[in-house]
Amino acid sequence: MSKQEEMDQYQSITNATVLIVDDNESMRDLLRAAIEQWGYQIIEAANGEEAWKIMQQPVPPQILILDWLMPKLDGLTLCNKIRTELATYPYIIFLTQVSGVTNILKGFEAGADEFLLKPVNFTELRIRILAGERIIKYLDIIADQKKELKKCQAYAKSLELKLAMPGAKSSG
Amino acid sequence: MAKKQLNITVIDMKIMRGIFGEDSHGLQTYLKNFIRITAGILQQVNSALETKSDQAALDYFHQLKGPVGSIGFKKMYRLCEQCESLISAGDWVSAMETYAKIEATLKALEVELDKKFKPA
Repeated sequence: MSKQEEMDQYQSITNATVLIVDDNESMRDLLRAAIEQWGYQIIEAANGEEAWKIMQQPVPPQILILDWLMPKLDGLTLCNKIRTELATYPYIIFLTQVSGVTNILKGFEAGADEFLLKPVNFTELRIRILAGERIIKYLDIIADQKKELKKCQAYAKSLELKLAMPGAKSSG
Repeated sequence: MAKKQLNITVIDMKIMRGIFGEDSHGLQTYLKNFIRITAGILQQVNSALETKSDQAALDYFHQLKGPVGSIGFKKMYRLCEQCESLISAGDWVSAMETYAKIEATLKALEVELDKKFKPA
């Protein structure tokens, strides 16, 4: 089996929506063509401001591919805003030409989950998206379990109150 | 009969096949858009070079290099890097010469694409 065929086995597991944020139309076209082929839904934004509006929708994209240097609102500020102002946790992958350890650190401090450099290595990008998708899936499971746990706690509390009431009898 | 694989010599077809597979039409559409968008940015580079606006020129090159490098358009990528260095060094004459080579490289891609997609 060739490397390509091997990679083709790994399609999106959740059909997640990926938001591509890049001011270069040609870059967005290329990323769209590649990522769509891997089984994801795509939304595009040409700058941080557009992306921020999309992220505030009731069901925002779960994965972001984010350029750093953009007009209106840059990638770093957007990343920071998402982490500090939104209740949801999208997986954020920086894809930029801004390099150097200091900048990479800045990206992670702003809340990025991954940091990839342009030119794009598509195999690497695909692996990072798959990893992100898995993390998003587990976060969803944890959120569901938390809800379930809260329900159970509320039920236990109500039983406790019933038992504490004068005249309450054990049925067992 | 096996389909004839499209081959554009100046870009990395391994990358492009990884993305577009055998979809020649998709590849053609992408490359045509790439040429249109890149030519637009090059015009802005030209204006920046004419007015010797170094930061603006460098910003445009920054924009250009992402997709150029990502499709494996190595010759153009190298020329963009050269031009960036010349601008940073303040050598505007050589930068203009390199810019002309970048334009010619993009034109060569356009010509090759037209030839390869010429209806039989």
